[in-house]
Amino acid sequence: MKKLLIAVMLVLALVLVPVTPAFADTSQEVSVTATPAFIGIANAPDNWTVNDIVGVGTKGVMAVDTVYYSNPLGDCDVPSDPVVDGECRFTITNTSTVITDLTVNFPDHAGGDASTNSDLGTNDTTKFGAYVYCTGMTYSSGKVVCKKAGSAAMKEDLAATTDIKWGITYESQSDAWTSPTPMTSTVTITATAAS
Amino acid sequence: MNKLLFILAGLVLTLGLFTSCPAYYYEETPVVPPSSPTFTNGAIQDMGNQPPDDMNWISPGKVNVTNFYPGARAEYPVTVHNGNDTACSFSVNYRYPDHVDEDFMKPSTNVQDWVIVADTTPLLAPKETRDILITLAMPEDANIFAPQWEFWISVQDTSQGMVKTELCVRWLVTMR
Repeated sequence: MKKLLIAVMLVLALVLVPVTPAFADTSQEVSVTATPAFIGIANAPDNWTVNDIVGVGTKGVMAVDTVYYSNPLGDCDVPSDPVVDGECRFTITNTSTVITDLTVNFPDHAGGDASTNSDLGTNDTTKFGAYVYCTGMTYSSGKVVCKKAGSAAMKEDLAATTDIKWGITYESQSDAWTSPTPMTSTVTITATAAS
Repeated sequence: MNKLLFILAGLVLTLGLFTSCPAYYYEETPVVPPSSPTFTNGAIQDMGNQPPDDMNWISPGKVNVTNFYPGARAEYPVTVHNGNDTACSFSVNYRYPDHVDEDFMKPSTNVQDWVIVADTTPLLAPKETRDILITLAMPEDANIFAPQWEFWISVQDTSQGMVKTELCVRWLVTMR
């Protein structure tokens, strides 16, 4: 009889061990929630030809190993500390109803020499460097490296429905051009709800 | 002694019945039914703060998923508004985040396979607003690579020029 009792107790223990976690799991369901918010920005203008705002040397032609700015005051004029509206080519019209972060990415070029983004802000052979800046930023220390992907935010915690102006710094590749064909890239400015 | 054995046998039988009852298995519990009280699209209801009709916008800004686990599904729509005066094609896609919230990790490469966008290239009429369902379905055999992780859903107006805008919804996922 004792042996039978032990056998029954063993069976009971074997049943209880796997059952306990199953009971515990039933108390939690996946939850999906969202905070009411609208994210909306528009950018203008939607293009930039390097060295074509005022023009240094031959307008619209880019020299190698040269730093250019999308600065309406001068294509090779360094923005001030702090940056002012007049030094920024682009305007973001922000209709977001919550605080947002703005991030800019600048992928590799296509066509011509097809310079690639160094992701360091500075140039190299066959590589260009890029930074972005915006109004109110201390340009010399605050400009943000503009990578092909995964850039840090150019502007964090932009207040709701607050517009902002911004610009790009571009350092052309350090070695000579090998192709007369223009090269292009599509720059993207991304808006997300702030952290 | 016989009474004791009878009670123990009854207990074993009862537990056996519990384990065979589907309602107690989390794998078969509906995760996010559309009528769930946690499924609240506040953005749609919050019409008072809606941006101007002539601007592109999306909603919401963030989706929070909690108690997630391998085998689970979570759904939430992204609302897309076409502010143009003409019909416009948008792209709606999974997006690897540029940066993530504090305490959250960037997603593993597998996550893009777990995200289903109901319509990745919606064509919206002028001033049209449309919901696009996003589904996050984690396979049962997937590894939990981080306790908290984030991915983005990207929405772009494909008619833009060389300097274009992108609007993203942040999905913040917390595993149980």
